[in-house]
Amino acid sequence: MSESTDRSLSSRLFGWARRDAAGGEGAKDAGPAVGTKVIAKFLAALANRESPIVLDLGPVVGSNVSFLGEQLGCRLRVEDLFADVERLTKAQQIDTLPEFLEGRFSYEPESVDAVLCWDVLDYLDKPAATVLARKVVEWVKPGGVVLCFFNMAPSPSPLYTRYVIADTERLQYRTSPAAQGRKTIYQNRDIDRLFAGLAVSESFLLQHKVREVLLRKKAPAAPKT
Amino acid sequence: MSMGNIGKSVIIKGELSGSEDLTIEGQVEGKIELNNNILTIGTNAKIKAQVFAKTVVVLGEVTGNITASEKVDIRDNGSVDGDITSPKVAIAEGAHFRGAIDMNRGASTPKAAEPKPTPAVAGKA
Repeated sequence: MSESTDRSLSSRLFGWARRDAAGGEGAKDAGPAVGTKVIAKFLAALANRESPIVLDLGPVVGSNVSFLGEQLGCRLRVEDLFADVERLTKAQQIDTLPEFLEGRFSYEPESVDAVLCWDVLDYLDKPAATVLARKVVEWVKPGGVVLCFFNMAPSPSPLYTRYVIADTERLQYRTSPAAQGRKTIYQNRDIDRLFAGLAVSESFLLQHKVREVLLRKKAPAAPKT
Repeated sequence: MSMGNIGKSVIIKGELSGSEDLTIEGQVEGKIELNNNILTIGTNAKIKAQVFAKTVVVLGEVTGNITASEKVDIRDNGSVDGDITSPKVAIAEGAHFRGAIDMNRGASTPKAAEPKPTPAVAGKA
């Protein structure tokens, strides 16, 4: 399908022209584009919020910054937890990660409209994942959303993945070497327990064994008239 | 247009302002204000300052907030730790960034092209 004739529903809804995989920043050193179902849902959840605050726990991806800025007019906060995991692993201090996470952030409760966890939880052991998930639940405003990816198969070699948003229906997976591979495979009940206080609003298990999950904090009840 | 240049060995502590494009390769601590011009932070530059410019191109290291009325461009090996406020932000793959990015959608939405006025045609009497 040529770019000029692509008028999929999502591109009409979100006005995002499909990027040619051969061009643009996201295509450099990236694998082929992979279908995603959760990005459109994430955007729809924030569509009615004025200048939403989005917290990205992954590394900065320039084209994602542009995409989210154009789609949402959001204030994006990039925290790059992967850099912290990598640093502590190389310093052989990874067992201090739970304590590090407790003091790492300074967000007020219910101050963030959305959190992009990507697959960071896959790289944390249970104590660290518990701390991070608890903090994410605290930060999210009522009605806010959390996007997580969970890899359901072990990784053959230690790699990090940057998820480059090509458009509302496609991601490019850009991998880089990691000091340690993924540590945990989560089942649905594990996700529910980790994010107590949020409800899974969307969950998609994709062919390449990645589970895309969108969690939402219950919005406050509308006042009775 | 003239362009200023601050060399690698220069260290400035305080406020730096101007009305021409500027490239900095040295160290600046404090505040940089080039509201109508392009500021280039060169590969050797180490900036610990609040930065205000029309456009900011980062090839070196900035610790501090950047406010640009047009664009902030963090190139490969550029590094910013701080908040960015600008209608357009470009970050290369090899760049480092940690902080908040505020792309006010109202500021970034381009104005629709004004329709060209049709020339008046004199009517026949």
